[in-house]
Amino acid sequence: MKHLPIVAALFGALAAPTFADTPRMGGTAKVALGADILGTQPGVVRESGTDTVLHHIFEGLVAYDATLEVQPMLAESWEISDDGKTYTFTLRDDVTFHNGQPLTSADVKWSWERWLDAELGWGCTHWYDGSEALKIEAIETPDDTTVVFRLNIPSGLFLAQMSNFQCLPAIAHPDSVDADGNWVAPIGTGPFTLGEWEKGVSVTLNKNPDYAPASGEKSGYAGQRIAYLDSVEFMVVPEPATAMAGLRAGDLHLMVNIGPLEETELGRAANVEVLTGPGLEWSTLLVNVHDPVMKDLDMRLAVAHAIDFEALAKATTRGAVGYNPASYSGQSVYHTDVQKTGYTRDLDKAAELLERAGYDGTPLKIQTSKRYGNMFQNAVIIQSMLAEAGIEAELEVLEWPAHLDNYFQGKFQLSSFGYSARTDPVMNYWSVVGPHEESPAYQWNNEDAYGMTFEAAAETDPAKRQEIFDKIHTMMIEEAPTLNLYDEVNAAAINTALNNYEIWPGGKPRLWGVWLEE
Amino acid sequence: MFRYTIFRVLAAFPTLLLVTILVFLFIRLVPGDPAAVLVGDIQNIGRLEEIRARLGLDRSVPEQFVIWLGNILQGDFGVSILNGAPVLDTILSRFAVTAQVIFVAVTVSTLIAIPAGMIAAWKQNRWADNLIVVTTIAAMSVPSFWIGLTLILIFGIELGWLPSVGYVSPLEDFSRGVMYLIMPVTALVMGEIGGVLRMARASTIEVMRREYITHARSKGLSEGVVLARHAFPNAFAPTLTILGMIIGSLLGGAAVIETVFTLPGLGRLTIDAISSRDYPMVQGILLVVAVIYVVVNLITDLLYPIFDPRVKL
Repeated sequence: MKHLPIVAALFGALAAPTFADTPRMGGTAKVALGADILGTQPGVVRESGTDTVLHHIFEGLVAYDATLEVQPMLAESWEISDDGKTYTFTLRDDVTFHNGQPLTSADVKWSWERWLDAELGWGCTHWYDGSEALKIEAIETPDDTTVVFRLNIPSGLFLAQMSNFQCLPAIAHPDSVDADGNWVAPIGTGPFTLGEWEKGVSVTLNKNPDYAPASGEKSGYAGQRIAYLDSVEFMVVPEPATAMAGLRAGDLHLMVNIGPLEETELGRAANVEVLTGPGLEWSTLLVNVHDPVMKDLDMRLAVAHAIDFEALAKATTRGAVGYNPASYSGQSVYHTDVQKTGYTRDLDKAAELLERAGYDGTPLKIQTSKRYGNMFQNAVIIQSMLAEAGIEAELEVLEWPAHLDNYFQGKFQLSSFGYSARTDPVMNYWSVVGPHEESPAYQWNNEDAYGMTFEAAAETDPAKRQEIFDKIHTMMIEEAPTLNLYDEVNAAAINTALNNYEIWPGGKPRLWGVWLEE
Repeated sequence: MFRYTIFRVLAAFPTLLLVTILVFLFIRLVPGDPAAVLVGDIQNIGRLEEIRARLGLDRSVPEQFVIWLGNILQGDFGVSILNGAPVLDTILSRFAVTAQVIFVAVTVSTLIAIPAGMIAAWKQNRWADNLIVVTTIAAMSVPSFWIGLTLILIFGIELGWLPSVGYVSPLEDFSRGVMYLIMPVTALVMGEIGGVLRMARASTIEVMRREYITHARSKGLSEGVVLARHAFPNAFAPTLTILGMIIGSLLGGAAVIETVFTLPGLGRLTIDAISSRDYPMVQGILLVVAVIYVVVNLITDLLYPIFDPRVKL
């Protein structure tokens, strides 16, 4: 490929355009999904694969780009009032729904009100109903292309939450529901429409021929979403070995969330390419501060100083990423040198701390499971690192639902865990810090830090937010209520027939802007 | 026979009741909470209790059982906790897929195993017998997971003759559907043929020692006629029992094969339901599977007198 420009120069006008860069229209790309989607109503019954599929059908007012900045999507612009409490969005006037109806402000209001209805069970109503801090007091539609959101407080978080992957406040056409309000069909504005959903087998999306793309280059979930493919078939392939065979056979074009094992094996196949990059999900070692042994700060710090975090990160991600001591991704604009400060391995110090804690040699217990990410590998490596520091640890390998349940109930001593992608540090901290009496799933029961997250949520000035995040991080390192390990790697494997596929920190696959070779 | 059938059907009810109680209890004894699986780690932790209440999980287990059983008796299996799909419809559509594969696989296994088993018995301890026995034991001993992946590697990737992923129902598109069934059926046949063959061989050997076989031979009948007319009918009955058991257990879902070959069958549904603690789905599946067992065994028993007239029902 390196020589292509030279070859092209040599042959001058005779040279045919390089095929790889010219989109080819048509064809069906086949994508492996680990499990069938749960439904077609975004954010209501969901898991990651369901989100992935529905993001091709639906769009929100705004979306994240590849640098994790919020960009326009269905809104062409927005204004924030001086007091930070009024957001006025101007809609694009060229957008139509899959049923041919034009997008109007009334549809935006209808959609938001549906998601915010507590009866529906949409996953993230708590972000907008005042149960955390922010409350949408009114959604107004002064004209067809203007939507006004009135908030109870200024928010540094509102746009980030609106762009969230898991709880996309999708703009749907009211005909998506029947007269009784039951969801019947997903009518969105996206570059693909729902074709056939054959339960347990596949979900086929078809190109939306009337799609009006947003402006700007494709970047993350933002920019132009142009479908070159006629259709995309998401195929349910529960067994990774089968999906790998499918990729090699050309029966599949894309497999996401691959682990190091698959990476190694697929790396050898001539017609498969593996793409990797740092993501937003993060691995942690949860340390239960309410456990009789671990409630001792010296004990927690001893564990922290017994682990070589850098080596751990490099080992489990095959050198792709390093130690990230913070509770949010290294890809975040708020991740600076302060967030790079964590613990360094110091076995003497660990020994000293253990003595001060009066550790009697009782083995510690590390819970883990094998369904997601590197939780199991992290646990194994931590176990051996602790052993080198004179701390014996036992692994409790559970099934994922049991592991997760124990997390919610605070029933563990140490737990090799991971969190799914969040895009603003406040959202990350809201999963970690909070009042223990409200839920034992809050690992860090610190009122000051919890209060600061609300300050950051209400703050719109990035510099001031940075200051707050720096303080929270420093406090967290001092108290060691949980030990963050590293950003999980986004890894995808593609059959080389699929062109122009890229991964991005958001990790979600996008089948627009890509094409198939003949 | 009619009274026997009625008796057997009635006798199934206590069995099924016991199964329902055990299933109901055991799935709840397994650690893990369906509400937690639903909430995951992104949503409001405070919703956990609300979801538990909505699902009725905040009630006592006996109370939950009575409600569930009451609904079952009215034919209402409830809906999946995970995606809200009706439990019975989901089970039946998945069962149809499993049943297709199983019946083809068992038929093919039988057609190969019984003649091969009888030949092995006839040529007992000769090279043909050894060859047949060793081959089938080898096929039986290899894990079906490995057989499945190897088939995919050979026929899906290297030769490219058969599709490696996906499923098309042969009822909708016969020729394409068959292409998707070849590998799973082959893998199943390889796994199941051994049991049938060994039973056919053993019972044929026993029959061949009987005096009526000697008598038949002494009448001057050819070996083929002896085997087909005198040995086969008498040797088949025990094999039928084995077949019944194989069908019963496979209909409950050939989970490994279904997973490797991306077949949307009952076995995969069971695994998915258990791993998401989808209580109504798990309960529904196990109840249906128990019913299938009872029915298949009943049919086997009712067929018995046809092949072994000594048995009176």
